[in-house]
Amino acid sequence: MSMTDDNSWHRGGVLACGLRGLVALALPLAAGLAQATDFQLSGFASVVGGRTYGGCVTNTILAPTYQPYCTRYVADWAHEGVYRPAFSWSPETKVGVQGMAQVSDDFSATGQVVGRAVDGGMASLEWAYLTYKLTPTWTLQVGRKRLPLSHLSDVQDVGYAYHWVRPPPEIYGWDAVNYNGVNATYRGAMAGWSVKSNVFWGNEISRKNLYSRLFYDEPKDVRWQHIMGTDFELNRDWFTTRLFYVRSDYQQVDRNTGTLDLLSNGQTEGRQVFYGISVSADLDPWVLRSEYSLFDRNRYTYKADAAMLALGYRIGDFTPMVTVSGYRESTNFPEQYETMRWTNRSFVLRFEATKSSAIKLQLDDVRDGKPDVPFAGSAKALTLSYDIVF
Amino acid sequence: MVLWLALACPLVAHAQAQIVAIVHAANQEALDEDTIVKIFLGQVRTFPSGSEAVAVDQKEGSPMREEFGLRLLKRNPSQVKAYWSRQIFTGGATPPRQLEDDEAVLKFVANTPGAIGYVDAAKVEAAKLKGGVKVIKRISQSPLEPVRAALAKTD
Repeated sequence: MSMTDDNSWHRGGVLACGLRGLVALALPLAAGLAQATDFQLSGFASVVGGRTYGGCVTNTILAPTYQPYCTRYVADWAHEGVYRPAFSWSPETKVGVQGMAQVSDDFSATGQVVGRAVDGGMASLEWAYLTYKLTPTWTLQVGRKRLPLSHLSDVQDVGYAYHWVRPPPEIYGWDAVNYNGVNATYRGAMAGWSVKSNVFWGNEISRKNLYSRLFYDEPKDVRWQHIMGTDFELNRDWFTTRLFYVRSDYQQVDRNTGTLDLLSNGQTEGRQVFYGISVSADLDPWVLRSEYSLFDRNRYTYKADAAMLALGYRIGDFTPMVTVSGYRESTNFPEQYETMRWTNRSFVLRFEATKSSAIKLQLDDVRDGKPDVPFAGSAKALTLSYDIVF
Repeated sequence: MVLWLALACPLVAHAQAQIVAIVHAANQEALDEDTIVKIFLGQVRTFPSGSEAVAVDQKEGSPMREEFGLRLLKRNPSQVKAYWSRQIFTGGATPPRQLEDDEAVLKFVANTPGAIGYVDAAKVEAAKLKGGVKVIKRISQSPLEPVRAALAKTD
């Protein structure tokens, strides 16, 4: 069973999958544990429930599976987490367990299993990597990690770590989530600024890709190969900014036929390039989050701009926050590809229930920008979450 | 009565305590507050000279740690927890090692050349290991602290 097989763990219910996941978690750590001086187990969980509201929208771009519903809200693109007009706990509820064996001062092994309630239950080994501290400023990691496409991508599963129920899906939702490869990270200081920079290389083959199920009833494999990326983060006091650049080759395989799908340019492979910037400010009690990303797949299908701006104000244990976000596509292949665009205005109230858990209530108001050929259609979504780290 | 108050209101007691950042007695580094913050948040792992810095924290949930977070890191316990969650679950920085109390921090710093920790100033004066550590920074009270203390009392 390959670590890249996103859905191969998706059988036999949560318990069986969880056990498989834990076994898989144990494997890469076993060697290290034998000599480990320190083993730490930690975890996170989010229990999220919600539903959509609003007038009926029909004939959307979404797969036929979603057509019978009046309204839909895609909260988690990568894992096909979609809210519908009936209340559900499934789309975003998840639990993660992480084990880290500190073999020596310079060497550690880490594995993280995440189980998701979406689509009946799923558990997968999403992180499994070895860390070697080359110098006090440089760290080398080898294994399976999350693709750091946007500012919060690598912490997206840990709801407690951010203010929203979920980071704006307009930016945080792509068909590849993890990758297998190597990365080198620099952490240091420069003229009073904290600097963190990361370069990474790798590949990802996502079998029975969940993102693709939003658009196709037929199962697809998605391949991101020759991934190369870098990010650069600067922090000083209350201010943080991050720049990123990622590129890879892209292929999609129809699992029923075993053949590569033709992309809009008539080829079976294309190069994609993603880059963007985020700016955050934590000037207590004010909280500002902003992000802009450009996802360029226009050599074979489309180009997408995604942006968000959020402003919050901390009042004791409560942090209300308003967010405006949007997603807009353009294409060089209008005959072959139907573009999408929409905006979202959201309000979230976060309450610090304890020092390690939070309760959030979020209202999203999505306005589809193409009423004639909507993506998911305009809808409102109300979601409630309980997020905890342990 | 005095003892009861001290037990019942440890946070208030620490709010009035002098917190000091300490390093090994042989440490010759000049550290400003900003550098100490970066070291305790894992944003830098070296002193300005380039030698490795080993930060040690106090036990999670302890009043001293909460006070240090509010005064120096400018983060309340929830914010500190959220910060380390982002690091721990993403392969980022590793949190400083946690030690039980002031005495344990004093002992560790006195025995570790690259160590940096924080303790109640009065404990440094009283410690048998006083000669093994050096106070490098007094952590002043945040201007917002009286407001926070007042809010905490209303909870």
